[in-house]
Order: sequence, then C-alpha cells, then structure tokens
Amino acid sequence: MRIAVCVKPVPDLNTAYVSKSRVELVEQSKRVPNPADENAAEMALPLRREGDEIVAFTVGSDTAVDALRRVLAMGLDRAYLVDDPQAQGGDALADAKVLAAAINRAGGFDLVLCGASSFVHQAGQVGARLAGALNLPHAARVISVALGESKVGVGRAGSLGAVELGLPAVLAIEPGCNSPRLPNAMAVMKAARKPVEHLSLSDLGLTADEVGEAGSAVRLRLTELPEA
Amino acid sequence: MSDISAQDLMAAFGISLEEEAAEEYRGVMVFAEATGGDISASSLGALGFGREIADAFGARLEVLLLGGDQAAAQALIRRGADTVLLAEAPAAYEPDAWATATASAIQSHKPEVVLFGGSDITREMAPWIAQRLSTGLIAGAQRIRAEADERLVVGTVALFGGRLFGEFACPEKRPQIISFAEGAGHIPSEDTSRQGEIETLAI
Repeated sequence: MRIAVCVKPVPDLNTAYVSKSRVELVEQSKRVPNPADENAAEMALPLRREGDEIVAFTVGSDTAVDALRRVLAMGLDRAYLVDDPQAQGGDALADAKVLAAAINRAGGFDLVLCGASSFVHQAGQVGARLAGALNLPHAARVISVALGESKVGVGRAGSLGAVELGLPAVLAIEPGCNSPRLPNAMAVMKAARKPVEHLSLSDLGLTADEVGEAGSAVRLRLTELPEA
Repeated sequence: MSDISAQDLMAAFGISLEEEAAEEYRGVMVFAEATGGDISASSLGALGFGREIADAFGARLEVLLLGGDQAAAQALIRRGADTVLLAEAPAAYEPDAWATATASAIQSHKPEVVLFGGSDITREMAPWIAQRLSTGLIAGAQRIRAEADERLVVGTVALFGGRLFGEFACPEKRPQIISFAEGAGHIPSEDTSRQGEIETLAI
C-alpha cells in the first residue's frame, strides 16, 4: 500500500504578528504545512503497515522544504517538491494539474489524501480537482477512514454522512478532525535525512503555459483589509 | 509572405480563438437544490445574485433544479428565474449523479456564469464540476458584482479567516463559476405575476 499526502505550504501566522503589516506577514513568514494537511498526514500514519510507504507532495518554492520537513518529522517516509519557478502562483486548476502529474510520475498510489481546505482561502478545491485530474473517485470533508482490501469507507463532516469508495481514491480531510502528533527532537533530526526529491516541469512532462499563473483560470485582482 | 500564419493574420485583425470561444457562452445559470421538497435557502440566495448579474448583462437567468418538482420550479420563477431546467435526477443527493447531471447541463446550455449557493452539497460538487469543465472556480464568495462591459463577475472572498479580503475574477475561461460562502446572498421576494418557462431535463 502506498499513500500520497499533498501538503500546501502556508505562512506561519503565529510568528512576529505584531511587528509586520498583514500583507508583509503573509509574504515573509516561515512556511508550515497547512493545518488540514497535517490532519491528512495524521489520518495516513495509522493506516501504514509493514512495507507500506507514505509520500508527501508539494508545489512551492525552496521555502516549502520547511513545511515538508515537518510532515516528514511526523513520520512520512519521503517527499517530492515541485519547485520549478514557473509552477508557482497557480490557482486550484493549475496546482491540481501539477500535483496529479507528480503523483502519476511517482506512481502506484492506493490512497491520495489532502487537506479539505487551506486556512488561506478555505476554497476546498484541490481534492475534487485532483480526483478529476487523476480520474479517481473522491470524498470531501472526510473525518474518518476505514481501509479495506479494495474499498475505503469514510465518514464525512456536515450533512453528507458516510460513503464507500473503490480504491484508489482521493480523500479530502476535514480540518481539525484529529490531533496531529507533535514530533520530538529525535524525529526532527531523522526527518532532516529523509529524501526530498525536487521535480521540474520537464520531469513532469508539463509546459509553462499550462501551470502556475499562466495556467490559472482565476486571478486575484485586489487585496483589501477588512472593513473596520 | 509564406511566413505569415493564420494565427498571425487573426492577431493582426484582433481576433483571438479564446475570445471567439468565450462568445459562445451566454446567460446566467444558478444551481438550485431541493432536498426534502423545499428549495434550500442557500440556493435562493444564489438566485438573488443571479438575477442581479443577468440584469447587468442583459442576459437570461436559467435555474437548474435538482431534487425538486413542478411546484418548486414555479416558486423559482416567482422569485426571478426566466427558465427552470427541471432535472430528472435522483430526488436525494447522490454525488456522481448530481454532479454529472449538472456538468452536462452546463456543457449543453453554455451559460457564461454559473452560481452555486453555499452548502455541503455544493462544496463537494462545485470544484469537481469546474475541473470537469476545465475552468476556474471562485469558491466561497461573500458577494459578487458584475463588470458588464467585460461580461465579468468579480467575487469577494475572505482570506486567512477574514484577516484579508481578495477580489477574484476568471477573465478568460468560460463558464465563470462562483460558489458562495454559507449564508451569502439575499433571498429575492416573490412576484406571483412573474411568468417563465419550465423545461424538463432528461439525465
């Protein structure tokens, strides 16, 4: 069994909140895993048996390595980082394309997990889009996972209830549905030696016009502070 | 002379393939869910936004109704729909059936704007549909406004849990799909004299 966990690097808003403007804070803070992606990693870890592998996938710049080391310290085995500058700044459509290509390249996954939504945007798109791009069934806002031989039963938050999917499947894990483990110092040191493979667009067979900002459908036009 | 391609010629006359494709898409479509017989409040909220955009664009407002009946379709017309597409889908929400029905209705009717109210069902369906149609989704909008000259819808979305707000638009791909945050929108009042069409949509 191989499990993929997609990790979005997000700014750590707990650092230096007082001294910076909010826009600076978002741009310059250290990168940590999106909280729901830590929930996804925590969901994956108890499913691992002898010989299984749990692999992290990220699209981001070199600062994303900090976020990856964190999930590796939690216990994930290895990571792929698509840090091609042209793959950055994409919307959910573009990012799902990159993640799907990276997951296909690494190959042979039975489960693909991601956070149901990022705390940046709460859009909750990547799980469903990844399922579409990989042509796999998916469930949104998953709070529990029961893994069978060829099927997975999941519980979902809100009014949606339980559902059973054939494997392989994509599951979007609801933020806050479990308590991600806190790695100890030994785990952090071990994580520093775990393999992180860097991937470029040419590794993935993608071109610059279909990913990143160029491959995005939705564009940010204006950022404003909330009305006082 | 032989170096000039068809694309160069089109560019010289200001014609781009993207623009031509975008012009095939006209009108506004609102997705409405009626689970347990009643149309959800989130769908009616989206209908209110849909009417505003349709009026600004001078376009028709279609409502795609899933899980509803003739009476629910009539109620949607009284609240502002020009046409109700009454889908013959399972009355209870089934992810595959509902999402596939919605995606194929969008593909055949080609609206330029598709709006989803904020609910558990649309949060699961909308991104899957946007991926199927290879277009953008502005997810969780608090409010929207029309830029009629560009036939563009701009959505305001809370970022970082409301620490920042962003305005998003989908300038090239069609349709432009927007899903709302829970509780967004205002429910349009009923006008019992309003007339509209009801089309049954076989799935």
